Amino acid sequence: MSIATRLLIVAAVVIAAGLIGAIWLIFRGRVKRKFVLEHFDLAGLGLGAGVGAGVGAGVGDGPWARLGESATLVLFSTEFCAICPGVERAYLELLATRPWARLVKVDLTNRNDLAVRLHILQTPTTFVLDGRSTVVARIGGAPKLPAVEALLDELAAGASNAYSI
Amino acid sequence: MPKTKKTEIDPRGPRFGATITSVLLLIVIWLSLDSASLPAALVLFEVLAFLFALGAILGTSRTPYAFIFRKVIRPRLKPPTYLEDSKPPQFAQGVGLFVTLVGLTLYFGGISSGILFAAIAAFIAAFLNSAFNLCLGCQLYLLLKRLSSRG
Repeated sequence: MSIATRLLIVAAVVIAAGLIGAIWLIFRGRVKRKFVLEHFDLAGLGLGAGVGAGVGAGVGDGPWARLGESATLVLFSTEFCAICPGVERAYLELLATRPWARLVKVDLTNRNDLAVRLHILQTPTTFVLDGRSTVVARIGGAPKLPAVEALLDELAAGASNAYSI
Repeated sequence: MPKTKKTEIDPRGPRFGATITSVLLLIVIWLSLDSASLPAALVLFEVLAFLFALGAILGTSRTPYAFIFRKVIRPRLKPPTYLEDSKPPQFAQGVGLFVTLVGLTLYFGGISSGILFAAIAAFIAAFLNSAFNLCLGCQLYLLLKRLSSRG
């Protein structure tokens, strides 16, 4: 095969890989609002203590499945997920100034039944719950944090509006 | 649920390894495109399979890449902002080993382009890890479990 053809093929492979990466960057972590589950029953998932862990304000001093007053981030991870701890830290930073929101972690490593039931194909996956446990959005992959922030604040505003009526 | 013992590593280590891996795989692709250099591609590809096996069996912190990273690269970097579980990259090395073994099996089964296609697949995975910090092993893990549960 000629040198030119070989160069062309090698370049095409690199460009293809770059394109895959670029497309992934654009689509990962989008806050998707189409997926709506009426009621996310955390207790009904059958998580043993230590599998689902509530973190955020009041770490370790409350029931693990306590949900946020206006919003809850349910973060699904596995032991094999390298970026999940980083995502968790980023969420905790968002929650530090938002006491009405909480983070709940669910480890799917040994809970494939849950992954199937909730259609989770990748970790991290995040469900965003409002104050009534309705899943209002889901996020696949490392989240686009400004969009998560906006959604959380929108949920808080929505909750206070409902309260004033 | 029993907690397995966790080893934490600098996440930039496996990423550095993926960078070298992707360069080596690109050389394999280059060499495998000409019948004259195909034997050289085979040798380098076998070396890569061996390196993947080291990472998959011993863990990514006991590979030659990790040695270079610790001795040469890490002293020049700031301390890591966080550590990661060593399991995900180790799982990914296993995936890499699987892909290279498929390529070698095809090659020795008479399909000489097996090396090229396996090297392209492995390159894309290593490149995404290196350039985009995208851990395909993570994504694959749940997917494989999900598929296997449906039999």
